[in-house]
Formats: sequence, structure tokens, C-alpha cells
Amino acid sequence: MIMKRLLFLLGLSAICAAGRAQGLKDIRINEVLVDNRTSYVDDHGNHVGWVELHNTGYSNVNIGGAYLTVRRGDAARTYRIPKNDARTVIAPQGYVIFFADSTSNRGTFHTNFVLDETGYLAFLDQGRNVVDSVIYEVAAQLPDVSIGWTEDPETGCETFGVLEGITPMQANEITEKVQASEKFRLHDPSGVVMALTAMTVVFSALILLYLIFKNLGRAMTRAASASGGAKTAAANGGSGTTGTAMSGASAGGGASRELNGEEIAAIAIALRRYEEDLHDIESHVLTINRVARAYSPWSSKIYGLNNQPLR
Amino acid sequence: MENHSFFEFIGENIHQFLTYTGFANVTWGHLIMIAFGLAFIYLAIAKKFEPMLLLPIGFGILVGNIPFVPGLQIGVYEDGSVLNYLYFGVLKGVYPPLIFLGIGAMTDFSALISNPKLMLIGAAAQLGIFGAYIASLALGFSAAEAGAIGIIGGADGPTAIFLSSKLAPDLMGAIAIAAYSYMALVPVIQPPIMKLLTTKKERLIRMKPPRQVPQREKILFPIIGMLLTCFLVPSGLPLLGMLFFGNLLKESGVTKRLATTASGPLIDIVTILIGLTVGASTQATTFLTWKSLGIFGLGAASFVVATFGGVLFVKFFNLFLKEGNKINPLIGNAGVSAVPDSARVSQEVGLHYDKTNYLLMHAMGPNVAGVIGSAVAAGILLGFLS
Repeated sequence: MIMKRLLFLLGLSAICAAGRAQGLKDIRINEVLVDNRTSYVDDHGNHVGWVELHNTGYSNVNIGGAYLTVRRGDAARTYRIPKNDARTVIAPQGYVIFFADSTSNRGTFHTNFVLDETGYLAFLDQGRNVVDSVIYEVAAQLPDVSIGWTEDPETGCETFGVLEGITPMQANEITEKVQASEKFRLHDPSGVVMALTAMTVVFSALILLYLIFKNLGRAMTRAASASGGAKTAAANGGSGTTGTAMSGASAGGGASRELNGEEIAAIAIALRRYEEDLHDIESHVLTINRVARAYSPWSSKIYGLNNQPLR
Repeated sequence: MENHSFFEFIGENIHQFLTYTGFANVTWGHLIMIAFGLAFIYLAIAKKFEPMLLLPIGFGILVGNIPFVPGLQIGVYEDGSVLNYLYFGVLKGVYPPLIFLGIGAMTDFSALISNPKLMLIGAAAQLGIFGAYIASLALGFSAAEAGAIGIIGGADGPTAIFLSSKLAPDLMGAIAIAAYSYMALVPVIQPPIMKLLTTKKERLIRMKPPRQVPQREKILFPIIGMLLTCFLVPSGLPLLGMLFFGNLLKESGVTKRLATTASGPLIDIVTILIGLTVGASTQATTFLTWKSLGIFGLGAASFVVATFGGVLFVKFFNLFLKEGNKINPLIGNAGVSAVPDSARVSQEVGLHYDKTNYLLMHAMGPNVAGVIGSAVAAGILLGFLS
């Protein structure tokens, strides 16, 4: 019993840990600006390099307790994101920016490293495992030109590289995305392809269900008749009678035979009529019985009187 | 002097009060919509057309079309208003899955399990959805709007609300009203089509009585059904998951209290909220447009096409079935969902031609298959177009 509980708790904690890890796995390093001369300013009015993290998932993710680093194992260049700041919860599909100015005493979003040293940047979970990392050439970084993930509008593939423009706290694609519905319409202006595809899927789903339940029904009926036959055979054997195969089969069939709808309806109507008829004929005799007044402490005078105080 | 300013003050206040009344702000649009609302209430009470839906929707139309000065946090579209909070459940697609939970807990899939080939009728009747989709595109609606309009052909109010809230929220009021109106009019729309497409001999076909379904099969149905349909169309998960979950609560036999709550108080509460807020969302300014008119026309067409699809499919299917196993094509219309009205129509039309041919139980098969089919179709549209 204790073992079972222990296993249950272990399982539960494993699920919780997996759930937490899953949340952080949704975070990625979305955009990095190494050489910030004139663009996005921090909350102190300075132009410093910055890192944008993006929650690619559809639930809130708290990155408090996770790490950002430009050199793994180097405490001086690893920043632990504080846990006690509500702003570290990134909304679904949301963004957050960290300023890499090597002055972490300026607030939650200021790291203890700069970006133009190592050419490496990683986001680590609470156990310091790498969730996402990027490598870039420091010397190749141009002023006010950021690098990040961008989606090819044609292929839909994502690549990490130089971006067309700086896009802090927003998606990296500057050009407006064509909606899926409109894309679909471009390829299928009349809607016929959609109709054919969708009808095929609807039919496939219901055909699969049909096949499964057709065979399941058969299997169930077979199993029921087999168990009915076995029970009858066992009963015959137990009573010491030597029933013929024919009688056994017929008796088995009888036991497992399912009632058809008409028989069920007839039984239901018979039951209903029986229940309705229960009170159809009344005797019309009204009998008044005298109720015996049994003793009850509630009506007893003994308990109703105040006891005289003892002298 | 003081008296004068006092009366002036009172007069100004009365004038201001009058400018805030509905009488000062009423437009022809409001009056037309109020007339619509009253018609819905009349149909619900006097004609008993889907009263559970038409009454809350009808009253909701009245509520939504009381003229007022914007900015007072009253209207359904005003942030922070009570109606807006209630409308949130519609806008974010919260209510439809809850209704599906209740439907699942109320539905007996025995007819379908005992004769699984009836599932295919439920698939064929979804033709109305895609017919309306094609027609909507031809009329110039965007692809997302066409998908939302097409789902009216699924004859399933919650599915229509769910999909339109995702694909075309601005058209949701018109789509929901059209879907529920045509569902109420199923006894009027379907019989002429059924008679048109069938011969007298076909209408007299007697179907085999369904076999008794053991509880184990009834328990397996929602589990297998959910896994299979949701693996195939994950976007249908909110509707299909809840539908099958509700059914498992019912069939498992061990969660009677939960099944009773889901099929009783829960679905009643959600029906009240969804009906009232959908009705209230039909404010004249958003509802009385040419698009709404187009939606009503396309909705009617989709019901007709869906009925055609179901009945003609049964006729086609009968070509491959042996004598004695044939299906009465009068149950083909039931594939459009609209539980249980379309099954009732099959029964009534069937009884009209043969007083002893009871088709209701047989029609319930394609009827509930239609619910699954329309939810799958909604999932496909959502997957492709969102």
C-alpha cells in the first residue's frame, strides 16, 4: 500500500516536472540586437544590446528562476532571472526583453553580461539545462541590425539570421501574414477542393467507426452466444444429465437470444399498463384508525417541571 | 432668480433624462428587430417551434435591441457590461462544448451501434455544409465567412455558434439565428424534399428491428468514438470530446449524478445563457445588413442540400444492400442532425404512408451520426480556415 502511494506520488511529481519543463520549452530566443546605437532604449534611457524571449506556446510561462548566459559555467556571465517579479510571466504568444548591459542591479530585466563578448547566448531552465541557444559572429554584427528567427512566407520554414528590421516586443515578420483561410482560397477559389476533401474526411471518420462497431458488434454477439453455450453445457454437466448437442445449442441460443425491438416494446407496454392498473380500482372505503398515544419524553411532564434546588 | 435657475436645472435634467430613454434613441432598425424577437416568442409559445431555444433567443433579441446611449456599459458589445460578460461564453466558444456535454449525456447511441451502417447517412448529409460553403464563396464572402455560414447546413446550433465564433465573430448572431430558425422549421422544409425524392415503394420499406446493445458496447462507443474522431480531426476536440464524455458519463452507469447534472441543470443553464446572449447580440446595427440576408438565404439552401444528400445517399446505398436489409430512404433526412426533430419528421412521413411502420428508432441512428458528422466537419473547417 505504502509502495503504491509512493509510486503514485513519484508519478505525480514526474508529471508536474514534465508540465513545468514543457512550459519553459515553449520559450525561445526570438531576437537579439548586439550593437544598439540608436534604436530601442532601456528603462534608464540607454542604448544597450538586448535579447527578446518569445513564448511560442498557448499558456502563461513563468521564466522566474531560469537563466540567461553567454558562457556556460561562468557565473559572472550567467544571469538568474528573479522569481519574485510578476513580469517574468510571459503571456501566450507574448514577448519579454532583457537588456544586456552588465548591470543586473538595475532591475529584473538587466543582465550581468553583455552580448559582444562570446558570440554565444543561451536560455537555461532552473536545472541549467539548455532550452534554447544561438551562436553568432560578434564582429559581423552591424549597428542597429538585429538577428532572429523569421519565417519564409513561401515555404513556411523558419531560419535564424539577420532581420529586415528591428521588431522588439513583436513578431519578427514585417510583412503582414496572409490568413490561412485566404491562402486556402487562393488555391481553391471555388471551394470544390475543400468540399471534396472535407467530405472524404467526414466519410473516413464515420466509415472507420462503422467498421469498428460492425466487427465489435459481431464479436460481442459471438462471445455472448459462446458464453451462453458454455454456461448451459456446464449446467447440464453439473446436473448429471447427458444433453444432446442439439439441445445444448438450442438452450444456449435461448439464453443468449436477444429480444427484438417489438418484444421489448410489448414488455414495456405490459409493464406500463400493469403499473397504471395498480391503483385503478379503489375500495372507496375510508377507515379512520385511532392512533395509540405511546409515551414520549417530549410530552412528559416530568421533564417539563423545574427541579427544586437542593438545600 | 434662484427659482428660475432651479427650474432650469430640473428642466435640463429632465431633458437629459429624456435623451437617455429608448424612445429618444429608437430607430427603424430597432423596431424591425423587436418585431423579429416578438415573432420568435410567438413561434415558441403558440406554435411550440423549438421553444427551449426560440424563447430565450426571441427575448434576447428584445433585450439586445432596446435603444440606449452608448458608453453606459449596458449593451452586449460594451466592455464591462453584464451582458458582455455573459456573451464572453459565446464569443470564446465556452457554451457550445458544455451543451455538447449535456447532449452526450442525454443521447442514446444504441440505434447507431446496433446498425452502424447508418453512420454513413450522417456523413452524407454533411453535403449541405459544403454546398453552402461553395455558394457563399461564389457570392463573395471570404473563405472564413463561407466556412462559418456553411456550418448552418450541419443543423446544429452549438456547432454553428462554436465555429462562427472562431471564424467570423461578426456574423455569429446572424448565423446562430439562421441555424436555430431552420432547425425549428425542419418539419416544414424536409417533408416535401423527402416525398419528391422517394417512390411509394421505397417509403414502405420496413427495416429490421435494431438488436439490443449490451452495456459494454455502449461504454466502448464514446471511448473509441472520441479517440478515433479526435485523432483524425483534433480541431473538433472541444465539441467531440465533450459529446463523447457526456455519453460515457451516462453509459458507464457509475456516474449517474454527473450524467443527471450534465443532461439536466447544466445544459439548461447554458441553454438559457447562450439563447439570451445570442439573441442580444443581434443589435440592429450589426444584424440588419445585406450579409445577414445572404446568410439566411444560404442557410435555407444548405438545409435543402443536406436533406437531398441524406435521402439520395440512402437510395444509392440501397443499390448495394440485399432485399430485407434495405434502408427506408425516409430516414435519410435525419442525417442532418437537428436532434430529434429530423428523426421525428422521418417517423411522421413514414407513418403517413404506412400506419404501422415506425421509423423513429431507425432515424435516431443517422440523427446522432449527424451530430458527430457535423462536429467533425466543423473541426475540418476550423483546421483549414483558422
